[in-house]
Amino acid sequence: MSGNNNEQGGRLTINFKLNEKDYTLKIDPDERLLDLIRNRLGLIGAKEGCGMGECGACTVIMNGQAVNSCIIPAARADGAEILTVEGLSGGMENDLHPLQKMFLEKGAVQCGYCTPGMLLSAKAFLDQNRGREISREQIKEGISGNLCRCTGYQKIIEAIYCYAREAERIEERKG
Amino acid sequence: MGGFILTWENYFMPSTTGEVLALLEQHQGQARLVAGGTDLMVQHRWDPLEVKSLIDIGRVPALKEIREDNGRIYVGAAVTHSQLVDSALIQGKGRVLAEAARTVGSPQVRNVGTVGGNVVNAQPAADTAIALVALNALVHVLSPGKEREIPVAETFLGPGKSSIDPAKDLVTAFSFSAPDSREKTCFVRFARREALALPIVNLGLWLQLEEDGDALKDIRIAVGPMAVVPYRARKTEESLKGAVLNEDVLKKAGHSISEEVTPRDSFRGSSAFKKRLIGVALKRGIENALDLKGADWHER
Amino acid sequence: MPGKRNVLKKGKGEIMKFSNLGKETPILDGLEKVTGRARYVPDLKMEGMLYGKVLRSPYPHARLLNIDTTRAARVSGVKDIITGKDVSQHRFGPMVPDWVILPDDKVRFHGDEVAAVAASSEEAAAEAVSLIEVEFEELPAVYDPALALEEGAPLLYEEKDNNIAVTFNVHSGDVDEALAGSDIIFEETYETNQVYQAHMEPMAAVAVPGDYERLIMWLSTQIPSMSRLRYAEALQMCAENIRIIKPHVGGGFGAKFECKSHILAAVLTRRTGLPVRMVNNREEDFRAGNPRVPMKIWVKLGLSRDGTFLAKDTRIIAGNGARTVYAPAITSTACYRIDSLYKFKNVRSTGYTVYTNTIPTSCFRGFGNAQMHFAMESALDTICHQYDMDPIKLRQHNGVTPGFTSIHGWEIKSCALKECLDKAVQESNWYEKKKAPEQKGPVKKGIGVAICNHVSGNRPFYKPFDGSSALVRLTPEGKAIVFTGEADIGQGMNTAFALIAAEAVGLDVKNVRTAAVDTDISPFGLGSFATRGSTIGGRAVYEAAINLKKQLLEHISRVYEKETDQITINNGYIYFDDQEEPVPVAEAMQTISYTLGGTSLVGQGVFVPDTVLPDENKYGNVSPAYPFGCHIAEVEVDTETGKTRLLNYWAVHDVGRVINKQTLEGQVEGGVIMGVGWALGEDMVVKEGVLLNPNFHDYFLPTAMDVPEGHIYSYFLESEDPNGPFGAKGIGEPSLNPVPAAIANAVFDAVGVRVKTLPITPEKILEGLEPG
Repeated sequence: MSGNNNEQGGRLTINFKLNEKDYTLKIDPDERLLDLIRNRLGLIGAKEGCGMGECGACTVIMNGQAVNSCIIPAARADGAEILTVEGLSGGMENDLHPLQKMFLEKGAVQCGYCTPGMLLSAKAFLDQNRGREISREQIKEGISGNLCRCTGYQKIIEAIYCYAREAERIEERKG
Repeated sequence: MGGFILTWENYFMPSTTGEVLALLEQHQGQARLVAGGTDLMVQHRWDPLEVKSLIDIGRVPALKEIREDNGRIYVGAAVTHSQLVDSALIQGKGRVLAEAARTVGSPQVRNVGTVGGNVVNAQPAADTAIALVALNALVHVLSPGKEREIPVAETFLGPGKSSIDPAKDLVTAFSFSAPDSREKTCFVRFARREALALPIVNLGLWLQLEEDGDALKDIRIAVGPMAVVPYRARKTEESLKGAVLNEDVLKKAGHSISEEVTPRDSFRGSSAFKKRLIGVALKRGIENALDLKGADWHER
Repeated sequence: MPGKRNVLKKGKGEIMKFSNLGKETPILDGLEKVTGRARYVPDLKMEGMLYGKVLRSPYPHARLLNIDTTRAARVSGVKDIITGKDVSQHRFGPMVPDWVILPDDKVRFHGDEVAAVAASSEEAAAEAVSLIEVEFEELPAVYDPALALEEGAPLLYEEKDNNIAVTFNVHSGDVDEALAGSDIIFEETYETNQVYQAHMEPMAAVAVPGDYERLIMWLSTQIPSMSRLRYAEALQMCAENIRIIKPHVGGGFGAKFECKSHILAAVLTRRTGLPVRMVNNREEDFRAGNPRVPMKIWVKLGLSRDGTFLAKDTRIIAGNGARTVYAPAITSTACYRIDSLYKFKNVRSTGYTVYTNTIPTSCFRGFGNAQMHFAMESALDTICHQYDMDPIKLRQHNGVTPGFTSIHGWEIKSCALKECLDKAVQESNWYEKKKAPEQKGPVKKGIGVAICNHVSGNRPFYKPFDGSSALVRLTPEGKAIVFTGEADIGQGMNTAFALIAAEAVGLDVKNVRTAAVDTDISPFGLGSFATRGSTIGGRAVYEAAINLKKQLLEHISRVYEKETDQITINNGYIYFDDQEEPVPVAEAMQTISYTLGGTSLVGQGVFVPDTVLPDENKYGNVSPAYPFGCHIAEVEVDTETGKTRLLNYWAVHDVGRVINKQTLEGQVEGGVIMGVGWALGEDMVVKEGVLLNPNFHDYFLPTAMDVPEGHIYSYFLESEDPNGPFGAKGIGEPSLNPVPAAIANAVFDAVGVRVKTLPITPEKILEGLEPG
């Protein structure tokens, strides 16, 4: 049983990339991806909000898709590429991801507990819709798996929408 | 009061169906298959499985394909809900299935949860299962030593009870016949909120018009949760065959299905409420399937 | 570089333009939140930390016959197990002493704490909990407050002879006489249900042993200072030996006051000498949190033919749950706070807070005033419809006005209620929409209005006093730090304080921050409730900032050899009347600091409003300022499915002064959606004392796809309250108070169905359209 330093059962070795870094780790077969991220790697951005895949506070991006890490077996990380909120930027004010900047600028952050998961759902959604015009309705669907109790979602939707328009404009200028 | 202890000792990730079958055989019922795991990872906390090992089928490429072959559409068991939503083939030739998949949970859940897992989990209102029943889909099952095809509807034995044993049987794919231009499908669902919600009622519809004119040749109406398994509203289906689908007929059909179904009172809705809603769902489903400019209604 | 023209004049009153206030200021602690570095209590890890888990009662009411922890104690990694036998049985409690640390006699609700384990891993703790053997003797239980009042109902506290925790009574004027003289009499009963705050961060504590028998607690709390006092009482310790630190908090909305699991963590820490972490899983948070007080509200109103309110008579039966947290205060608030929204002349109210074998109830945004608003604003809407009166004019006619003293002696020093109504009507196109022609098809649109009042601080909440104090420290680098005991729980309070300090001193808010609350260092702060933060906490910060500024001016005068009345400070620069070039504050502070032995300057400020405890007749001004608001909801109801959708929403609030426009909007938008959830679907479904939906898939919080199709429009009016800092009043609870009624009224307008019990479900609407 995990957590008891019990030698029984197969302890798995997995190899994965997280936030662009390569890892080789020994995990327990019944470990959750959320526990791997928070406890083994010490990355606290992903939160346990419900432990049942129903609130999105634990959202990370795995192989380009937003997933609830509390219901993903850590073993499945083997061979995968994972992005957590810590991987979005260097963490300092002067090198934030533009999406993070937009969240701050538009007031899309209040208590902040849902924010890491929300950012990653937004990013996954935007990446999957690159090159297309995005509506607010689509954004709502894109973040529909992330519960927020503070903001009423308005400014979050606005931040994502403004970011998408800006990114579009940058693309247009480039192309 | 609800623990979170996960207790299996092995987690296998084979990459071919042969490896999957070999593992099943090797572990003699002590291992079970898992696809997305979105149901299992949650249910296990309250109702721990008596298994030593899990066999994750998500890395078997053959099980993740969506393809058309010889007039049939094949959907691999490990195809995720997101894949169904995004697939041009399914949007075009299996609309009810794409629409059903889109209502499930949230983007995070849809990215991981699979149609195979949804069917084997055997809940009577499983959205993609309802769609597959409307499509008269078959499930293709491989067990060590045998291969079978079963109508999806027949695999449901009761809530949470499937005739498919995840410790013995590997679902490889679902298939249904590719529709012609006279066939229309659509999915309708009513829930307490627009995402992260289980349905109060859902309805999968397949219909076929006559070659000449607007009369209905054939129809299948699959609904949930009206019984312990996905329910085909056969009485209502019969009453509609041969009819021209105008407003009056649709109204009558709504009443007919409301009368026909016998749902229980449950947390998500009373029997009376579900009966009422399913009538509205059928009316709107047919209007939507045929793109009728009927009364103003909402798609979601 | 900002010029002299934007400067604040010295002395008070002649403020020409604000450098920091009134803008869209992103929260100052947002960087750590968007990068995932913000640490909340569940993120804390300490060396040797143990994991605490609670064994909870599986019965709503039972005697504890025996507890055997032998098997549990043998689980590898278990360090300590406590039951009622291991702790003092003295009684304590936030309002009524009906709490014990752990019971040795009986349990009173499904989820009640029976025992606690501390172990070296979560798994070990959980396994140990499952192995504790308890012999229960089930007792008859009662779940409905109305039934709990009846003769012969099972008693939760056998030393009492009924289940009433507290009774509240008030009678001002002569209600019976006024009713007798009324042209219009209206009577109705409304019910508001039990809902869950659903803060995304569950309740959490990490207790750590400190030096010299001190106890340190890292808490997810709204009341750091006050919990220190309560926990001292619970643990029978000197409060000075308890240090409480509040890191980032993931929302509270009223739930995060005194909490049993905090106390249990503390006991385990003191016994083991090791840090103990106790964090609720979501199910526990549902089952043993502090949900909203459910109420049955009977209302009788008497009006004259011209729509003047003559009498208000109410009776409330409120569910306390199994022990008392703050429900009695919430019931009394429901009884009489709304009496100061309108110019009532005769009011009578009786409120019973009743024990039931269910989850203890407590504060939730609105604090009883929200529940009463649903009843009152629905009632007024019904009267208007029955008697063909204009709901806008009725409220204009009876609403309080600036300078008015209400029937309970509340001094309404600032009030833009009339203007809120006018603005909401104008922006929403109210009258055009009301005149709209009959709609075809099954989906009907409707529009509804509700207004609200609230307090900005509530004197009776904490008997000894209401008020706040603050320090503002200006460092040699020219940076200011605000020290306050008031708690930012995500609403942006720390940013508001920094803005107030910046504005009052003349700094750029970029160089101001608010320190985290640490009761060893921070001044005492009562906490985040009663919408008191901006007004009372903010005013203390303002006073501290003004005090700092006075000192700063004196030192600048001394060092630069200028007269103080020749000096102006604005946006981080010091302007001298007789020279062009301003001096940066940082530069000046460095010089000043050298002359003072390297120290910083510290301003101290205190704000104790001249509010009073109400007398026996409940008379007395309880708050320094009263905020007001007007909401208009536009909905669409599908008459075939009963589903209600919000189309657009207009919220106009009299906030006294806009400190930060962005966080104000955020509060309004959050409050509206929270109200939408409550009005349209959230419900804690309890059957035989057991919560059937302790999870997010069956408890219907709004998702991003459940927000209005259109917009939530928010507007802020500035009535410049004389007591608030720069005139500011609060927004936290007013943003929610009117929402359920606005929606209920809009639903009635759409389909003619009046739903009097929350939530407004599709079933109730369909039932109303086609009874039976």
